Amino acid sequence: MNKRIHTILLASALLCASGCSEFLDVDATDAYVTEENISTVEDIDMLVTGTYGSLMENGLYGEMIYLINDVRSDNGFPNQNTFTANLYRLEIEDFAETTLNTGIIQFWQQHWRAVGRCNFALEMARKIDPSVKGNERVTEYIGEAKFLRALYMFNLVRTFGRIPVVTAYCRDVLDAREHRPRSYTEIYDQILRDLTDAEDCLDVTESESGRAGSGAVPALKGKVYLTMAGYPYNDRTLNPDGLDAGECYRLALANLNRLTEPGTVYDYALMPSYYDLFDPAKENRDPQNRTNPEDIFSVQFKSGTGIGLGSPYPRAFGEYEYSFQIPNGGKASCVPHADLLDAFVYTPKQDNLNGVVLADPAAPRDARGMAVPAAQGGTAYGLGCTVTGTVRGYGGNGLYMTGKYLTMKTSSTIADDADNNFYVLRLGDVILMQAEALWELGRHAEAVDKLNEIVDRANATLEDPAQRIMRYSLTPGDGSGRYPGDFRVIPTDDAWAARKMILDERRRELAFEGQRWFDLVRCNRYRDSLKMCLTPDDIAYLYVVTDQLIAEREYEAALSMLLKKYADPEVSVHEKAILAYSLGIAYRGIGVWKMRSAT
Amino acid sequence: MLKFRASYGVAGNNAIGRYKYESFLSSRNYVFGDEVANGLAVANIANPDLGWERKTSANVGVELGLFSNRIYVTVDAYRDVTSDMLLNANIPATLGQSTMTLNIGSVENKGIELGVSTSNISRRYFQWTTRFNISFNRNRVLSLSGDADMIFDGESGTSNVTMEGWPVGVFYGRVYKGVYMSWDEIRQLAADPNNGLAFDPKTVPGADRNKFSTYQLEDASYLCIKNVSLGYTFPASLLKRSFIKGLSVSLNIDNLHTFTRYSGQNIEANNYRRATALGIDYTSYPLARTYTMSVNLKF
Repeated sequence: MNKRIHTILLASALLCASGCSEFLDVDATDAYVTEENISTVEDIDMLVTGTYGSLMENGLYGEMIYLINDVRSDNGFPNQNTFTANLYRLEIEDFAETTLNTGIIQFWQQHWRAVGRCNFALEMARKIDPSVKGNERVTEYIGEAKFLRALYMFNLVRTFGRIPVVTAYCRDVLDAREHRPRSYTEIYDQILRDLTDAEDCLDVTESESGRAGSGAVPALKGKVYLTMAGYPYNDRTLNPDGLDAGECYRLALANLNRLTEPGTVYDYALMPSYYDLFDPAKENRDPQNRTNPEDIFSVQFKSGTGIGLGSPYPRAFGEYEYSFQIPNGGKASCVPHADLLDAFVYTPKQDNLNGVVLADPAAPRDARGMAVPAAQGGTAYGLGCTVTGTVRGYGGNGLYMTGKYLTMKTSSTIADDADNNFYVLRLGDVILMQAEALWELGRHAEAVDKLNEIVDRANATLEDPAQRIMRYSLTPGDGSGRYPGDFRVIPTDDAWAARKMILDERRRELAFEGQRWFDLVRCNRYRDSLKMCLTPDDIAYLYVVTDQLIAEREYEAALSMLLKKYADPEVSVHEKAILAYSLGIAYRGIGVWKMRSAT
Repeated sequence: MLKFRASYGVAGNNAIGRYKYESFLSSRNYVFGDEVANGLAVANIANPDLGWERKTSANVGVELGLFSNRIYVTVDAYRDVTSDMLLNANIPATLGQSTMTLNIGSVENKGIELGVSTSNISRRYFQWTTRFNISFNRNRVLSLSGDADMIFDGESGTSNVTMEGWPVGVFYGRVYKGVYMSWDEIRQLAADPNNGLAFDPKTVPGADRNKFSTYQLEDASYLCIKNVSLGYTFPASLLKRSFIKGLSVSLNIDNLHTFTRYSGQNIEANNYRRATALGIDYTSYPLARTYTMSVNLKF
C-alpha cells in the first residue's frame, strides 16, 4: 500500500517539473502536418508543388481565366440557357456581375490563396540553407514560387485593378488590416521584383516538364511591361508616377528578344502546324526530347489519375449536348460568337438577293478558324480554332465550338478528366508581343516580319495553297486580294488602326487562350470591340470592381463585422470595395446600376 | 397528481473538430509533364482562441395526472440560447484563406412541448394505451458576426440565408408575380407608377435570368402516420406442453400515409443535410413504405 502511493507521488512530481500547463496542450503534429514539420528540401518541393496546384483550380486557369477573357470579351459566350448553376457565366458575359457571382468570388479567393501558398513556401524555404550539400534545389524552388507569385498578382491586378500587395504569410486574421489597395506603380514594382529574383534563381535548362524554367521569366516580364505600357498603369490620372510608355515598350521588347535573339540560350520554336499545338499527344513530357518547342509555360493536366488531376476543357468548350468522345457531353461554357467567326474571313462580304450578308465562299479562310471534318479516320477531329463542320453536322443546328481543346489523347470515360493543357505563355504569343512593341517603338518593318511569322505558320498548317491568307506589309501588293500576290497593309500614319490590326491578329492566334479581355483593356480598345454585347462607354466596365461603381450606402448595407471591427472609417470607397469583395459580400444590383449609367 | 418542474443549465459543445486551433497542411497535388507530384498547401489559419459553444437552457414544466394517472398530461416550455457558435466565418481572402472557424453569433430556440398519454383499457389480458405529443419550436438568429452579415448557402450557394432576426437557413429570393407575355405588357407596367412594381425593363441577350423566387417554393407542411405496430405475445401457459419456449408475432408499418399538399416525392427531402441549407428538394428518392412482419420463436 505504501509503495503504491509513493509511485503516484513520484509521477505527479515529474509531470509538474515539465510544466503543468504544457501537459494540457496536446500537439497535433502526430496527426497532421503542421509548419513545424517542414524541415527538408523535399518538404519545400512539396509546398512549391502545392503552389503550382493552384493553377488548375476553377478560380484560376481551370475556368475563370477564359471566362474573364474570352467570355467577357467579344470572343465567346456561354451557350447555356436553362441552369441556375450557370448564372455566373451569363453574368460575366453580360457585364451583370453581382458580388454574389460565384465565379468572380472564386477568382478572387483562389488567386489570393495561391499567393498565400507562395508566401508560405517562401517563408519555409528560409529554413533551408542552400549551401549545405543536397539542398541546392531549394534555390530553384524559391525561383519557381516567386515566378508563380508574380503571375498570380499579375492576374489579380489585371482583373480587379488596384489590389493589396501581400508578400508575407498571414498567421492572424488581423493581418488583413495592412491589406490596403496599393498604387499601380507599387503593385507592378512588386511583380517585377519577384520576376527579377526568380530569374536569378532559375536554371536555363528546365529540369522537369511543366515547371517554370528560366525562359518563362523573360516571357512573363515582357507581358508585364507591355501591360504597363497601356491602361491603366500608363494613364496619368490613375497612376501619376509610373514608367512612361516608351520605356515600357523598350523593356518589354528587350525581355522578349532574349527568347529569340541569335545565339540565345533558349531553344523555343514555333510548332510547324497550328493544329499540333493543341494535340495532347504532342505535349512535352520528356525534358530531353521536347515535342512541343513552342510551350514556354502551361498548366498541366493528366487523365486517369483517379485523384482529379484531369483537364476540364473538352467538356467546357464542347457545344451543349455535343458528346463525341466527351464523357457527360459538352457544357458550352464558352463557345464562339459569330463576330469571332467573321474575324477569320478576309474578303469583303457580298449581298445575296434577299439582302442577307454572306461571306464569299471562295474567299481564303484562316487555318486557325477553319472547319475541319469530324473524326478523320476515327483518330482526330475538331482541330483548328473554330470547328464548324463537325458541330453543324451534329443535329444540324448550326452550333459552333472551338476545336482547341477537343482533341483527345485517350478516350477517358470520366467527365472532366482529359489531358489537354492550357497555355500561359507560348512562343506565338511572344512573337505577337514583339510585333506590338516594335510597332509602338516605330520599328515598323521589323514588326511586320514578326506578324508574318505568325501568318506563315497559319498558312503552313493548311494543305491547300488556294486557301492561304495574305501576309502583312507596309506597302500594297498587286491588289488581287489573294495570297501570295497581295498584302494586308498596316498604315504607318494611323496608330489606332495599326494597333487594331495587331490586336486582331492576336485575337485570331490566341482565341480561347485566356488573353482577349486583358489585351483589350491594356490597349484601351474595349469600347469598339464589344459591339455585339452592350456598348459600354464607361470606365466601369474595365474591371469587375471599380471605385466608380460602389456606392457608399451599398457598402454600408453589406459590410460585415470583420470590416466594421478592423477597417478604418477613413478608408476610401475603393478600398472598401476591395475588402468587401475579399469577404465575398454582395452588392446586389450592381449590374443594373452599371447599365443605367451607360445609357 | 400535480408536479412542477424548472431547470436551468449551461452546457458546452465541443464538436469543434480536432486540432482546429492549429494551422495544418493538406495535400494539393499537381502534374509535371506526365508525372503526378505530391504537393502540400496550408489548409487553415490557426485560431488559438477557439473555444466551446455554450448552450444555456431554461425549462419550466407541469405534469398532471388524473384518475389515478390514467390520463397524464405534461407541458414544457423551454428556451435555449446557443452562443459563441462555431461557424465558418468569412474572412478577407487576402489572408490566403477565405473562411475560418470562429466563435461567433448566437441562436435562440424556444418552444412548447405538450404530451398526453391515456390508458384507455387496462385489464389483465388486454392493455390499450395511446400517447400523443406535439411540439412547437421556433429558432431565430440573435446575432451573427455583424448585423448586416448574411451567410448564404443552399442551391448555387444562394437559396438559403442565415441572418439576424430570422431562423437559421431561411429561403431567400424574389416574390414571383407572374410572367410577362409580351413587350407591350412590360412597357405598360413599367410606365404605370401605381402598380407597386418599380423596375426598369431591359433585355439581356441570350440569358435566362434564373433567380430563386417563390415560384420554386412550396408549402411542405405535413402530417404523417410514421409508424404503426401491432404485436402479440403468446402466453407461456399456451406453450407449456410444447418444445417452444416463447412465441411472439408482430407487424410493423413505416410511413403508412402522409397528409400533405406538397407535390414532391419526399416530404423529408433535404438535399444538403446542413442546418444552413434546409429544405432543398433535388430529385430526392421517395420515402419507402416498409412492411415488416416478424415471428419470434424461442426454443
